[in-house]
This record gives sequence, structure tokens and C-alpha cells, in this order.
Amino acid sequence: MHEGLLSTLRAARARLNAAIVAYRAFSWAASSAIAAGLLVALLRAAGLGTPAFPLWGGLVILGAAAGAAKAWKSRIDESEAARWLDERIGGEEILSAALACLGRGSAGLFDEQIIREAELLAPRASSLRASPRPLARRAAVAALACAIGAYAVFVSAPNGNMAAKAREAAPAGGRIAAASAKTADGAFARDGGKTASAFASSFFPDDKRLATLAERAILEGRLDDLRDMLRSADREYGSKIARAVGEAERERLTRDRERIREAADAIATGAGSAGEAGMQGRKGDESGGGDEGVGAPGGAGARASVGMADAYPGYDRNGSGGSGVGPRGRMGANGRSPSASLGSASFGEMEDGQADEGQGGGAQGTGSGGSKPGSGSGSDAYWGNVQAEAGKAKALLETTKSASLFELPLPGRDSSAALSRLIPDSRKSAESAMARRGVPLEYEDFVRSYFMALSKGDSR
Amino acid sequence: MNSEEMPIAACIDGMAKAREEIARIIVGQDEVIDLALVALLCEGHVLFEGVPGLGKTLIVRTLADTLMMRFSRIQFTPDLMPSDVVGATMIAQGEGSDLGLRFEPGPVFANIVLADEINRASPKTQSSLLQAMQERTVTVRGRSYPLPRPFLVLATQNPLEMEGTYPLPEAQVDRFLFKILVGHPSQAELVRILERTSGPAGTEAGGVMREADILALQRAAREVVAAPALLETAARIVLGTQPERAESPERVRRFARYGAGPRGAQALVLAAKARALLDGRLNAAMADLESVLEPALRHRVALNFEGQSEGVRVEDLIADSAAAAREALAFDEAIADFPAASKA
Repeated sequence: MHEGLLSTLRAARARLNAAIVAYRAFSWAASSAIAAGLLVALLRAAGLGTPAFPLWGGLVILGAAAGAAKAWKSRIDESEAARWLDERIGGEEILSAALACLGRGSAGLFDEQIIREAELLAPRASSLRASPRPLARRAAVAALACAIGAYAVFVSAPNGNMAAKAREAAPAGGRIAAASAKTADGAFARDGGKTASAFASSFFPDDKRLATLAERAILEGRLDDLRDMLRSADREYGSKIARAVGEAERERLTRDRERIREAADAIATGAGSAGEAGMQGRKGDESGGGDEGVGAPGGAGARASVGMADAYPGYDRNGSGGSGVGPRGRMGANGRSPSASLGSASFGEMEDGQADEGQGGGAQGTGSGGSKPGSGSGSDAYWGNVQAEAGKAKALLETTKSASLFELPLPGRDSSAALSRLIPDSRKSAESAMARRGVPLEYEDFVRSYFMALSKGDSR
Repeated sequence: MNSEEMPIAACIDGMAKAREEIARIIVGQDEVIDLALVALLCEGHVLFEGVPGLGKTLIVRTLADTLMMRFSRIQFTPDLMPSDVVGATMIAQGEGSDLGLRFEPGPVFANIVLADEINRASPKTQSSLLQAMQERTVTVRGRSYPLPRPFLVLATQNPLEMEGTYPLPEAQVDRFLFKILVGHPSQAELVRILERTSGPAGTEAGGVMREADILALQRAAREVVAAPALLETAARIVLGTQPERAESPERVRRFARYGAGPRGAQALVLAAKARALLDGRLNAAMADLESVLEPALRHRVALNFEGQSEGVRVEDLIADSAAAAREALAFDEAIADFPAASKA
């Protein structure tokens, strides 16, 4: 009985719930696409090797599923569907009322009549659908968000454009990488992601100590050291080849020697001076510590660094140092370190590969400067305690005991002027309220005396 | 249903005719007349507020004439006594030569009672009428006398002259179903009023309904179906007028002294049902609820001093509460939009 009406409402409920679930799924997918894209990019930047696209896709799907689950949990029932249909067909809540009548077993005087009227509306109601526009809009947003998230994942990947651009932008480092690519086993140049350790080990597969030293030289940008190490290894290969047993062994050693020699030549020709080198955009700065100069108060301050020697056994010693800096002073001191013979290089950030030029270390600097603005404090009988600091325009005011109610004297202004404009409006509101009997009788005298007191203060 | 009563549909038609008949006498004030009829169907009472000379008495008298009901008018004054309202026991000659006590009913024993300027009488006298309104009986010397049915009190008060008056306490104002503000007529309406009243003797309204029909309609009004969503909306609106609730709108919490209670919610729903019945529908709609919001709630919500000083209107707070209720019942944004073509 009345199945037609009930089935109409059930079908409408199912359609509306489907629309809500899809809408929420798209909404959450959009948010999670962006968030997951950023997360994956951050993980890549932190050097955590993860399967980027599967992780990102999984997070997006998880987000969409969570949104759908949340929507499903708060899905609408038949009475809500009836209300929705009523609103759409302008049925003056006839479907909702009919559903209520059915719910109570048509016990009311008018129930049967209402249900009959609702059943007449049912065919019209069954053709109603939720508008596809919100869903389409949300789907478009989700698609856009997925595209942005996927792009973020793509460019953060090892083969992504960002890494390639970084290599291109690194002037010296890029050249070295390119040069190395011709000579080394190819893997280092091909990926840009092979570690320095692997790169160094490829030159010194049989000597772990040398491989470690070469890796450190690569990481710290001491390409001259690396070059010298390679040349030293080249010389050692000569005796190794002479001692080699068998043609195959000799050929392998010869190949390795050629590779090392070419790499050393490439460094010598491609790296330029040590002070300009960058290495694949990887940060490789090693700044020296220093002493801090002290400037005169209020005047020049000087800061100078004294270089620290950084060396490895068997290789050249290079002092490194920073230039003296006077942060605010007019006469910052620059010094020169008598002991520093060669500046070291500090290497740029990974992305742009810029390299700063090293400078000789500085000695302790001194400076002298101007005077500091004065400060003072005082008191005034009318204004209260006033503290003033020149140059900061700061004044601390306290009201005096003699100041009347609602008067806060401020320097150079008559503060009571603004308040006197407010009093009449407030008084008018209070009078109006009292005229409407809005103020309790026992408070009326208080309100009147309050405004009288204000008026007296104002006239004074 | 009594066999002598007209069927409900005929009663509803009768109400429509009554409205037309009243409109033949009263110019404008359509909403006031509709609300008075709604109150009649709800067995509620109405408090009119408006300056003198706006036709309040004429509306009430015409209503009584049209519905063929007994009408009485009580002009409230400070020296009016409760016995002047409810009646008194008098010494009267009974059968034979015996003298006995006889209850002489007061003017409250009528179907429609106009309590003019109710706030001019003392609280004691006001209380006697308000007790009769609530209980629909009058008790004198320990004996109860039922009032005739239907029973409708239409009280008036003048919002301007407050000197020497006794404003109705909140608890007693709450007993009125509606508080209706009677406004000034428009220019066109005033011209028509002048045409009707400045000529020869005016016409009188003819009776179109009987007491029994009204009683049948009163019963039918309670049978009108209200959907759960409508009941929920009414409850939300009423609760939203209470300043102590954290969920209430910001202005309500700031400017209201107290809000409507369960009696206000009952008034809302019953009035919405009566309004639907007057329009010939057997179920109440949201539009019916909206149409009775202000008259049913404005005397149940009070402003605090700050609200009065700021010039806030009670109606604004009711509107805020209604808006909050609508917002709470709004559909999910996924289905809130719909093609215009599917609109009715």
C-alpha cells in the first residue's frame, strides 16, 4: 500500500546520497591530491627514496575514500529526501507530511487525504534529480588538484625537470658533471642521483681509504685534491699494469687507468680555479670560524673572520676565511690574514649552483662611530609621569588623581572634546529606553544621575 | 464530528466567506484579520497594540458579527474591579418570597471579549481576566462557571500613554497566542475609509458561520499534519531566541533578556496549522510557520537595556533566530543547487 510514494522517496534518497558521496569524494580527493603531492615532494627533498607516484596515488585514493565514507555516515534519510523534493516542486511540505502520516499508520483525520495528494505528486517528484553542476565543478577542481599534485611529484622525482635545471644552472659543477660523464662509467652522468661515494669508488675500487678521501673531496668541492688523487692513482696504475698477470687483467687495468686519466684531465680543464667551483649544485661550503671584532657603541662595529686551515694528509693545505664585515658601522674594518695563502671556495646552493669567490682571512677589526641618541625621563604635575625616549617617539602617560572622570589627558590635545560629542547620543538612547519603560524603575534615577554627572563633567 | 456541523471543507469555505465579509467592512488590515481568525481556530487570545483610532474595536465587533458569536467589551480603567469582569454573586429574590444568592455573570461570559486598554486596570483585575483566559472557567465563591465556547479574548493596549498604567507581567503576556501590531492605514486605504465612513450610515456585516462550525474548525486545526522538519524548525527558532544558549545567534545573546519557551513553540506550530487550514490545506508548510513567527514570538522575547538603548527590535532577533534555524536545516551543498527547469 502506498508503495508508489515510498519507492519514489527511496529512489530520490538513493540519488541524493550518491550525489553527496561523489561530491565529498571529489572534494577530499582534491585536497589530498595537493597535500600528498607536497608531502611526496618534501620526502624527495629530504632524500628519502620513496616510490613517489604509487605513494601519491594511494594517498589521493585514500582521501577520496575517506570523504566518501564521511558522506555516507551522514547520509540523508527518506524524510530529508521528501523535504528536498517538497522544496523543489513547491509542494508545501506535502510529501514530508505524507511520509509522517505513513509513519504513524495513517491514524490522523486527514492522513489518507494527504497521502492521496502526495501520490498525485509522486510522478513529478520522481523525475527530479540533483543538479550536476556542483558535482561537475567539484570534479573539475579535483582534476586540477590532481594535475598540480602529480606535477609536484613529477618534478620532485630524480629524473624530474628541477634536478636537470639545477644541473644546467650550476656553471662549474655542471661542467664537471658533463666532463665526468664522458670519462666515468656513465652512470654518474646519466642519473645525477648516483652518490659521490659510488662515483669515488668507481675510481678506487680496490682502495677504500682513497675512495673515502675522494668522496670527501667531491662532497667538499676540493676538486684540485680529487684531481691530484686521480693523478697519483694514474701513476700507481703504471706499476700495476707492469705487474699484471694475463692479458685480460692488463686490459682491464689499462681501461681503468684511461678512465681515471680522462677524469683528472676533465677536472683540470673543466673546473677552472678552485675558487669558482661548484659541484652538481650540491652545497659544499666549508666556512672558517673567526673572531668577532667589537665596534664602538653606537658607531661602527667590525667583524672579521680568521681562516682555519683545512687539510687532508698528503694534500695541499688551503686556508679559508671570510671577509670582515661591519654590520651597521660606518667604519667596518677589513683585515688580511698574514698566514692565509690561498682562499677556499664556498659552494652555492643546490638549485642554482652559484659559487662564491673565496677571500683571504681577516684579522680582528676595530671601528669607531657616532653617538647614540640620548634618553631621559621626567614628570609633570598635570600630565602625570612622562618618560620619553628620543628617537623612538615613545611616551608613557599616567593619569593624575586630579584628572576628572573620563578625561585622559594626552599631550597637546583636549581629550574631552570627542567624549562630549558622544554624551548627547548616549543620553538620548537612555531617555528613549526609559520612555519605553525599558529601564527598570529602580534604575531610572541612577541612569539620570549618571548622565547628569557626565553633563557636569562635560561643561567643566 | 457532530452531525449538525458542516463538513470541514464547507467550514473552510465558510471561513473564506467570513474573511470576505469582514473585508467588506474593514478597509485594509488584512493580516490583522487573518491572524485574528488563526487565533480563533487555535483557541488562543490576541493582544493588539496600536494607537487609538485604528479600528481595533471595529475589527473585533465585525468578527463577532460575521461569526455570529456573542460579543462583549470591557473598558479597563484603574478602578475596574475583578467582579466587573467575571461577575458577582448578588442577593436576589428567588422563587416565592425567599431571598437568595444568585451569580450574575460578568461581561467575560461571551464568545468574543474585547478587553480595551487592558494595561490600565490594576494587576488584580488583569489577573482575573487572565485566569479566565487560561482556564476558560470563572470561579466565584468557590463555584466554577464554564465560559462559553468558542472563547476568544482580544485585548488592546496603547504603546504611547504609559503613565498610570500597569504593564502586563511577562508571565501573563505569555498567555496570549499572538501580539499583533496594528499599524496606520496607507493613503489609499485611508481614502477608502473616508469614503465609507463619511457618507450615509455604514453597512453591517452579515453572519456567515455558526459557533458549531468554529468548534469543528478548532478541532480540525489540531488534526492538520505538521512534518517533522517543520516541528524541528519551530523548536530551533524558539530555542534560538534564548540568550543563555551558546548556539543562539550573536545578537540574541547580546541583546535579549529572555527568550520564548515551550508555550511559544506550541503557539508557533498550532498557529501554522491553523493558517494552513484557513488556506484550505491539510498539512502545515514552512511558509505557514514563517507567517506567524513575529506575532507568536514578539511578546515572548524581551530586550535587555543594551538592546533597547541600541534601538534593536525584537523582530530582528526573531529573524536572526529563524535564519539560524534555516541555515541549520540547509541541504548539503552537493544537492542544494538544482536546475531552474525543475522548479515548480
